[in-house]
Amino acid sequence: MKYTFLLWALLCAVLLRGQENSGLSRFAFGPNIGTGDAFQSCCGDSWGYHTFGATGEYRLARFFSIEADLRYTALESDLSGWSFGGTGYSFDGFQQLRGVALTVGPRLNLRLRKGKEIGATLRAGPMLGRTTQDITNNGRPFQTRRYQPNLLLAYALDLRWAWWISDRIAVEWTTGYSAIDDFRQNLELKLFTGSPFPADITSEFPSNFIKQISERPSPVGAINLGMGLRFRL
Amino acid sequence: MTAKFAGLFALLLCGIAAQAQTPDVQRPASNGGGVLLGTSVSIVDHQDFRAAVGPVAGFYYFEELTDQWTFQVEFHWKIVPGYRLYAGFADTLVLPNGIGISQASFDVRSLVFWELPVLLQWRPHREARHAWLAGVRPSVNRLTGGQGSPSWSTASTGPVATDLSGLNIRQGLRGYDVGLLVGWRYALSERLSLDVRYNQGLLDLTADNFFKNKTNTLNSDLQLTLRARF
Repeated sequence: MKYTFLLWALLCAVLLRGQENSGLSRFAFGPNIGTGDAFQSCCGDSWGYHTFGATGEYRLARFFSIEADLRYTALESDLSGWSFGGTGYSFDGFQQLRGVALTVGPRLNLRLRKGKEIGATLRAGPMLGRTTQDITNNGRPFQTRRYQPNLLLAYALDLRWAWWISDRIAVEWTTGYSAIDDFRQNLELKLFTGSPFPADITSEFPSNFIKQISERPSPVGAINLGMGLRFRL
Repeated sequence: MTAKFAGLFALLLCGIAAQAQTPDVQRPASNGGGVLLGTSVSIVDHQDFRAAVGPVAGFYYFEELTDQWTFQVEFHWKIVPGYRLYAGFADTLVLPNGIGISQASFDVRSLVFWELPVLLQWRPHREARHAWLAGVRPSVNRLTGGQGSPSWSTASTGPVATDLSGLNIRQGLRGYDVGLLVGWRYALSERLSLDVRYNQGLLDLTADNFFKNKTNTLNSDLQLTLRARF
């Protein structure tokens, strides 16, 4: 968590450093949130996808800027269910992926009339993600598995429509595609709480249940809709 | 991790607020509207007092009634993750020519709320930076992904057991809610303000005989939003 704070502090320090003594700075930044439709290749269905974070922008030219985005992302997916006849076990699972990503990239801007502006951004950068799995047996909590944080790769393509309602404040809406790649790294179990799986049935687990899920956090793709504010310093 | 990052996000909002603060607040407009965004901390399990953090976004419109009173209507969208609601159903038929078993289950893990707060604001005088607010907050909710559909299976050696595929989560999960809210707003500048409020849901969202529990699931949360007026 301290890395998140350090990254956040670094972003703010860079932004504040760029502030000019008079007039408007080339820096702009602001908070934004988003949601959309996410899909994780390990899992049949995903829900609860949401992001919130902050974006900073340094305008190198009227049409071109460099943008940095620090973003928290969360989503949940279902693991394939499994039941073992006659034993009374019927497992289902839910996988939560949460992480913080710092992505950087160029942004093209096109100013329209009356303070309107459109832009396109392509960003990429590292993401520190944490995977947690809640396993239920017949719907009741059975086991919670927490994995070590994984270094992931996040990238995003955003289209942005901004409305500068004053010299310093803009309201903006974004849409785009973002993805998280897992570098094919295996997940490393940090701890589990609850009941252990009975030894005599784990060999019966199908490959799409716990075994496969423990091997990789699995790539994520998402279609985003976002909304934010932007402040020119 | 979620709570920590939400704390940082709130800190960021405050930082923006401090940055945007201007020494003099101009005379506010008598009506107008704007956008809002921020975070909410919702209590998703009242029995274990478990909370979850999610984003909030929306629009608002206000109309000044007097120098002190302002009427405001808002539209909010928010995601509340972290629910752990399970409902299981089973039906077994035992007949001389065999056994039939039907099972269905629902898991609800997150909800999307659409809210329409209607409120009154009171401020000590027209130029005051802060105002108190209170009102009512009707809302509707929906499920994302496949949460609303039952996971359904049958096993039969003879008769076909009851068809449970027609079960609907809405039989046990209320689709609407009414709540009360109280809060405080602080004008950072002519166009920016911070709003902190507590929303108390009044209706239990889950039917006890569907989820087979007696706990209340309320749409209650603490919200921090930053607002920009058009």
